[in-house]
Amino acid sequence: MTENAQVKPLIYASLFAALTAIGAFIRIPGPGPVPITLQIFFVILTGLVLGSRWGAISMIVYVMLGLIGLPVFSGGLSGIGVLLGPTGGYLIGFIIGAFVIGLISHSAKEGFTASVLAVVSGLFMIYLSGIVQLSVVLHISLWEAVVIGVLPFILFDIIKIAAALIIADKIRTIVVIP
Amino acid sequence: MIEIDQYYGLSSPIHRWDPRLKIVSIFVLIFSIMLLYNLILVVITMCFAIMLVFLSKIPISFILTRLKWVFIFVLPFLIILPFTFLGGGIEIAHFLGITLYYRGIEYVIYALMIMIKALTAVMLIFPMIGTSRIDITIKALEGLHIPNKLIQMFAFTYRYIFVLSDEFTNMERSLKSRGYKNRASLFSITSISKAIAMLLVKSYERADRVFYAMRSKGYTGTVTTLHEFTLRPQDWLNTIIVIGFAIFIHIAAISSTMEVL
Repeated sequence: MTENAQVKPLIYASLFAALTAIGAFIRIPGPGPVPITLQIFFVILTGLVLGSRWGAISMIVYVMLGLIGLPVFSGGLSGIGVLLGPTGGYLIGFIIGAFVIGLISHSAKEGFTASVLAVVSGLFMIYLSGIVQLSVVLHISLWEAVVIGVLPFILFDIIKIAAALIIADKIRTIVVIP
Repeated sequence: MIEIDQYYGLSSPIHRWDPRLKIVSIFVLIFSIMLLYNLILVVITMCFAIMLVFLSKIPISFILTRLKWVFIFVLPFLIILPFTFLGGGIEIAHFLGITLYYRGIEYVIYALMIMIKALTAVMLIFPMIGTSRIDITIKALEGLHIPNKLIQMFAFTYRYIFVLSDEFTNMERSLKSRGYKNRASLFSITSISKAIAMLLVKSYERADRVFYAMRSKGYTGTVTTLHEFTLRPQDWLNTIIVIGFAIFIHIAAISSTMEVL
């Protein structure tokens, strides 16, 4: 591998990890009391732009930064406590989700259809990982975990998917990961 | 927003503790409390954590600001936890064809325990990394055999977070100066979306500049720093106390479970 091939993905993966952290702080006003944050949007974008390997590495860096204590998780939280807590599954899901999105979208020749399939699969993995941990930590059934951990967010996440797909389509022509 | 290390310059036993041993010891303690399921022992661990926080001399007001967010974040789960609509408890309400059940006091205690654990885990972050400069913490991770590439990415990401946060704050400020208000309207959403798009463009430009700067300076894949760590007997003593407490609390948990049996 050439030096360029090593350095460029490293910089972009760091950049997308930072964008995911910033995504937790950008609050878009929504119809309810809880503002919409952009973490999922940036996770999807990371997978679509960086592909499976660097997408997953970028999310590992993001999760590990939070794990060592930097307040990069939603609400400015951090630490192993968050990862082992009720919502920690979503963080693991970010890594799996970015990997799956990158894998499907970059392996298929057909552009947009594959990207749609990729992000839907990725979001499913994030939700799956999230509700399993929610259910285990809170000692509730999977169905109850879906009610509190998926249903309130799904509509906004679909909007984020649409936005990420449009933006990724443009970025991918500029940002080429060797 | 992210300046967790702003009190690294204070002088305390926690500040003087070797960052490598400090990270490992407090990490073990946080891990330990997350695996505890005994309310009394969880409270004892919280008291131990409070003691570490006091020893670190980090202002309590600074820590409370962060803990407030933990409280807000975890609270909805705790309100929901003692109730279920799947049956198996005392029926308390009936609406829209759904029956709500109360699951009992043990779930209230469990909810309380989750809250204390979450608060303690976040509280311990401050003595863990708030007492060393962040670049020293990142360097300490190298000493813990975390791959060099990953450590460089931590450093880049940390730097980018500040840069991008500044960029976004500037954009937000310029929007507000032109009369923008953050509310649920199509205009607000369009304005914020444009700001995010601008953030992406600026990020791309910055990443490109960083790439060329690194190439022009002959980047070889490793970054060297001048800081060297030295271990003193006091560092080991601190480590033994903290990890010893984490182990002790679990021995106590196991023996209390055996007594019940």
